[in-house]
Amino acid sequence: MPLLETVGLSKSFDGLRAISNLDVDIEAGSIHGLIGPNGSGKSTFFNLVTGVYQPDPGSKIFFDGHDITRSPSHQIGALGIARTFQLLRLFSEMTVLQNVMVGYHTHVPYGFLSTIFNNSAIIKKDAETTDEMMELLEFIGLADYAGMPASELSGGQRRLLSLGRAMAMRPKLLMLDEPAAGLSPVNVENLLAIVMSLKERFGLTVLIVEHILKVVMETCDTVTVLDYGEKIGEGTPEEVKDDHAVIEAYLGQEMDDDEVRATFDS
Amino acid sequence: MFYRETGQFKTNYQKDQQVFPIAQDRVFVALLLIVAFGVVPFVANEYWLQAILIPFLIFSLAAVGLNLLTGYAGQVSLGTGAFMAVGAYATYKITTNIPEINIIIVFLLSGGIAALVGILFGLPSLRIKGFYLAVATLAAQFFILWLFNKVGWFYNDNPSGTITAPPRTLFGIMISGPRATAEVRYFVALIFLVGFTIVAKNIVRGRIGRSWMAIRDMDIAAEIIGIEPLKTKLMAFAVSSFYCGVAGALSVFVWLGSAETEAFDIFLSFQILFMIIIGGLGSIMGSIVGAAFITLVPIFLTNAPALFGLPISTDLSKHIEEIVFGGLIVYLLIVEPHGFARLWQIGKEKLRQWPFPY
Repeated sequence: MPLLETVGLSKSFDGLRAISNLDVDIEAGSIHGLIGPNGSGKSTFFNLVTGVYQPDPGSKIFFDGHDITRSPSHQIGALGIARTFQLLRLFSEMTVLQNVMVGYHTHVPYGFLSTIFNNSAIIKKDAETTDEMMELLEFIGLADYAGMPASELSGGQRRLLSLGRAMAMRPKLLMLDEPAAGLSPVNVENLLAIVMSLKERFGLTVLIVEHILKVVMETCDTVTVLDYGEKIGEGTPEEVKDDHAVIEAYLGQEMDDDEVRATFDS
Repeated sequence: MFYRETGQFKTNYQKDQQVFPIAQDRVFVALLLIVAFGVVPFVANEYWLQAILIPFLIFSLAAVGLNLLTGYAGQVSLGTGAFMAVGAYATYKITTNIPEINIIIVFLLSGGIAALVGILFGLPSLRIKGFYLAVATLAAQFFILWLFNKVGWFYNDNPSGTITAPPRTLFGIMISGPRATAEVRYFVALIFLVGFTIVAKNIVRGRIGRSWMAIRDMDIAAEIIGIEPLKTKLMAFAVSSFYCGVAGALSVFVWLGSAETEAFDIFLSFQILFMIIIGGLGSIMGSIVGAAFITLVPIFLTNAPALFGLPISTDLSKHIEEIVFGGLIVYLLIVEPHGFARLWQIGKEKLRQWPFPY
């Protein structure tokens, strides 16, 4: 059974169909790529799955045996879906450590009264959480910056932190929205290496939206291609690369010489 | 040279997360408390206590409360005065109807009532943000004061329309009413401030404080991480209003003695807001420093001409006070938009490196 499954997923904004009738299965343990030209509905898909947008009637989203079609975002997060944002959306005034500790929130249940009186159990729990989070920061290479406000990190470090914050939620499914955008090739390699090792270590399933096709082709097991909100191709990276419809969406229609001449003459 | 962590090793994160990780800070705060509890009440005269120190303590409490909401949870409120009024009127109603309940417990109950009212007027925060929310909380300010003015039940239908603090004792000592001494009332306000400041500090450095800050910094990301915006924002409104409610109750029962709704008008709300802006949003200590600045500086400015022997009439010195005070606020905000708390932080960094900044 797939970990995440959408059935007939649709979303329209004032009549504009951003996603129409999309069926996607994401197998547990796989790295799944989602590609498509600008405006093809990739980010809308993310927002629908994480509950930022409400899908149109008739759509269904299942995650790990739960129907999450109408669940609010915070419940979806607690079930085990974590995501990063294209624009990162870090908690900029909070320290690096606090950023990841917020990510761990759903795993530290304690009440209001015990917080007020700050009893020893809470202090102990907080210290344990800190230990665990420092370990995570160590893993992604940000441990040295733990006490620094997130706004003072460099661009690459922020991207790592947004990944760390998502990982702190101990998710089953990690959704990365253009993780490599704006990174230099060396940093992209580094980031992918970290994602791969996190996947191995925690048995993650990963969904990547990415513009840099090289990243998708090298890392993904399965790739889904969207265009105008519809699925136009799916398969292994090799299969997708040779798919006629995909080439058309990315590079435009193949024309023979006569057609080209006709286009220019008119 | 003397202010640094050198030699103070932390062996676990528990110690690292202490309220004051540096030993010198702990000493400084301890000294401050010793002076506040052991020296001030025996040195200060009636005027100092009644006109300067007690209001400073009470406004500090309200400022800490507002800072929890605005500085930490990022929800701007202009209803502080009204929430303080709720606390004051609730205390009046409860203690005049059921005099048997200990007045301290009544203060806390009234804080609870203010918290409920705060939750009610916090509901719009789920939909509106920033300036728009500030305008929505103005509704609370005007509606609540209008209600307390209009409906006689709130002031027991007495003809003057004011609420008056009845004599109430704690352990046989008069702490409220006309016969309570200024020293005792000072102690009551001080104990409340210290106790609630510690609680506030515990809240903001724990999980709840982090969820408030997450909502403040980036609400969409916070929600996807599993923080419920509804619960988190309303909790911030409740806690903040609780603090304001207790401060309002104290302002009538251990400071003014009697009050009308005018004591809690929009200017009070603005004053408390200025305190946290000048002190530093998102800083507990900053709230108290800001309250000190806003309450103490005007008093100093009013008395300064007389102090230096300048022959200036009182109304002129009052005008000068307003000009200088306004100018000071503008100057401070230009020099350091993040308030005294940031100045203090920068000062500490400098002190740590002194005298070898490289």
